[in-house]
Amino acid sequence: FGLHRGAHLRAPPSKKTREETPPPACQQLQQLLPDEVIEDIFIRLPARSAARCRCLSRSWAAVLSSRALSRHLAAAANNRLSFPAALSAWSREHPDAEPLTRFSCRGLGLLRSVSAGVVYVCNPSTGQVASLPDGTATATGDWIDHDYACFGLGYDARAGRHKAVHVYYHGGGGGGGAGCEVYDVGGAKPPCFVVAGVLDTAGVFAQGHVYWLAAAAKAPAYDEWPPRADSVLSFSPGDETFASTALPPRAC
Amino acid sequence: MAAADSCDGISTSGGGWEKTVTLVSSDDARFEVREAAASLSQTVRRMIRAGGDGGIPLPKVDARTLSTVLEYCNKHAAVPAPAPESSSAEAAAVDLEWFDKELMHVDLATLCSLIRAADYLEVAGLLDLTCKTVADMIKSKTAEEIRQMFGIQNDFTPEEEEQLSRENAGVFE
Repeated sequence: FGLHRGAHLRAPPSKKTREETPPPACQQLQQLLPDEVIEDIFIRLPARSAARCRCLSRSWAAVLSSRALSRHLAAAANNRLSFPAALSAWSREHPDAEPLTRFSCRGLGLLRSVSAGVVYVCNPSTGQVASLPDGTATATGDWIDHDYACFGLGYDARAGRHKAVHVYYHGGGGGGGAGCEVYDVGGAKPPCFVVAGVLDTAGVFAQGHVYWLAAAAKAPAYDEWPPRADSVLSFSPGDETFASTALPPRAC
Repeated sequence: MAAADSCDGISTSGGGWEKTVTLVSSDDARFEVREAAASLSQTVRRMIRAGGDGGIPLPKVDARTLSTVLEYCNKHAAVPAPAPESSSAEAAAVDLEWFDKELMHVDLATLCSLIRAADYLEVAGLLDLTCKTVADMIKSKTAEEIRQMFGIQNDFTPEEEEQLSRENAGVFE
């Protein structure tokens, strides 16, 4: 038997064959077609095939990495997954889980486990789930039960990673105050920031930033709950900074 | 617009006065085409408007490719626009789909010539059809098959290749 196996192993496909066959002279796509037409072709590919094509050669990778095209492919990937449907299907199988994000951020979304008090990043198309750290960076361990906490999921195009951001506020005692944590999904330990501001919705990822409706920087009085949103807070996953813009008049 | 033109064409074709234009390919072949069909090409339409006689020169398209493009234009311009719910509309759509499918039964080099011609002549429907056909060819193939089809040399180092496949796995799997 040993011999038999050896015989099988001894026949790897010859690496040379590829170099020996000359390329069919007339079939170099890029010599044949103008660049914008090549983009037009690639735009029709499902994301998975486009990703495969990116691995073919340097020049193909260059065409497929153009900004317009990668934006399009990311959008196509989101559509193809039919994200809200996939996410709710996933959470039906996990009745404890409740989706936090309504829209896909490059294929991923956020879920909250109600009983465990843990927030997960999930990929509904593959069923993969990763829990966010349990909030040890905050003042209290029990961070789901803050007076309010909100989450956003963004994509850092430069680093090529997803980042989850958690913004919270302690209204009561305990001195927690307001704070924010950023989690590099699948990455290193979370940095911790303090932000002023009150937020009341789950973040939406668009144009490279996560956005929330926010209320004024000062903490609201108890009877003014919920506070009126008067600004938009944005978070840039790339440089992990926040910015705030006033709402346009009569927006809310 | 094109549909309306072709409607007129159909109703008057018995009278035999339908307007035609002459297109001249790069290798000096002359094609006489109904104006309604030729106008599916935005490039030709502009040239018709600009006027001039002795035929419209198309120096970037050879006769063989141009005849296929015109086959497409003739077919698509000939389709009248009946009431959308009628069964004949459905039949016409099915027929067109068949025609398009048959037209795309060509080798890759011919397909590329067609794409170039459709791009230059600005025949939107044909460009769409040909690009879709190439995309479908790519879609169903493995990386190595695509390399073979287009004669692509893999010029990545093994490390780069591994990194690429890792990146792709993260985003698209």
